[in-house]
Amino acid sequence: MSLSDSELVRRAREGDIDSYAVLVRRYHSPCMRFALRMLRERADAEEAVQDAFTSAHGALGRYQERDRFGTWLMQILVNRCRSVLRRRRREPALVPYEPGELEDRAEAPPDPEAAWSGEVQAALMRLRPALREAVLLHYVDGFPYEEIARLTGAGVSAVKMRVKRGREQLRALLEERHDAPSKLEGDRA
Amino acid sequence: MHHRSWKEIERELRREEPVDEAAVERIVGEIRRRRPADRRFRLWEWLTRPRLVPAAPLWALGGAAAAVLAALVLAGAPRWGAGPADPGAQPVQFVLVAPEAARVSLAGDFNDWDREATPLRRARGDGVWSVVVPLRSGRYRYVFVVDGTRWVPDAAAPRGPEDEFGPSSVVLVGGST
Repeated sequence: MSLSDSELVRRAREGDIDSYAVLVRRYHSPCMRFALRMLRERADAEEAVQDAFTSAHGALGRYQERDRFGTWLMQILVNRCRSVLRRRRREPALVPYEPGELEDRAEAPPDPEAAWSGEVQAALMRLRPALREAVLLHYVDGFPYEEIARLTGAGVSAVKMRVKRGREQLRALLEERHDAPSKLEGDRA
Repeated sequence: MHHRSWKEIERELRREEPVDEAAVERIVGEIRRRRPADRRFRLWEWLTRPRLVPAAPLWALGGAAAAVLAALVLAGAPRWGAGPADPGAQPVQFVLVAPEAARVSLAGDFNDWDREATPLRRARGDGVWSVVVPLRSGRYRYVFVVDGTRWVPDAAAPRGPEDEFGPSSVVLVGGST
C-alpha cells in the first residue's frame, strides 16, 4: 500500500530521503508537463523542475500540514518557470523567431497526432505567459480559481479573466492555423 | 478542414509526460549530495538496526559504548531545517502599514516565494507590520502577502521590472545592482 503524501513528507522531514524520492517520482511527470507547456524547451523545463524539487526539499521544515504537497510544490514550480521566462527576456535568443513558427513545416512529422501536438504547443507559446499559466493551472492541473489566485498572486477576478481569454485565444489560434495554412506558407516566403 | 473541439485541445494539453526515471535519479542524487544530515540519519539507522552478532561480553560492552557515543554525537547535530546563522548576511527590515490585515507575510526570491515562510509581526495597535530578514548581498524581488491571498508591492521600495505576472518590489543588499 502506498504511503500518503503527508506521511512521506513527515518522514522526509526527519531525514529520510528515500521517502522524498517517492514524492519526486509521484510528482515528476505532472511537473514536467506543466514546465514543458510553459517553457517549451526541454532543458529549461528539466532545470526548472529539478530546482523546484530541490528547493522544496530544502524548505520542508516550513511546509505546513494544511497545504497539499502537490499544491505547495506547484507554487515553487510556477515561480521557477517565471524566473526562466524573465531570464529569456533579458537574454534573447541569438536567432530571433516568431513564436508561432517554431515548427518547420517543410519537415512536418508525418504522424498527424504528432503534428497536432506541435500545433497545440506552438499556439500555447503564442499566449502571453500569464494567460498560458492560468490555462494550464486550470484546465490541465485542475486548480480552482481561488487556488490559482493564491499560487500566482493575482486576484480571483484576474485569474478568471486570464483563464477565459487564454482559452479563447488558444482556440482562435488553432482555428486560424487550420483555416489558412496556405496563407501562412505564403507569408513565410 | 476539421476544427478540433475544446475537448480535443484540452485532451492534448493534459497528455501525460512519461516518467523519466533518469531525471528522477538525478534529482534525488542532487539532494543526497546536498544533505549531509542524510548520512547521519543513515548512520543512526545502521547503528540501531537489530542484528545477531556473536561476540564475547567484553566486545559487546565496547559495541554498546560506541553506540551511545554515536547517539550523543547525533543528538548534538543541527536539527533538520535549522542551520548556523549566515555570517555573510545583513539584517534587512521590511515594513508594511496594514491596519485592516489579520496577517501579513513576505514572499520573495529569498524564500522561494513561500507565502508562509516569513510572517511579519504586528506592532501593538498601530497596524504596522514588520520583520527582519538576514540577506546576503544581492538583488531580491519580493511582495507582501496580506491575509494569505493579496500580493501587495512595497510602496516604500523600488518597483521590480515591469512584467505581466504582477507587481513586485526590489531590495538591493550590500550595494549590488
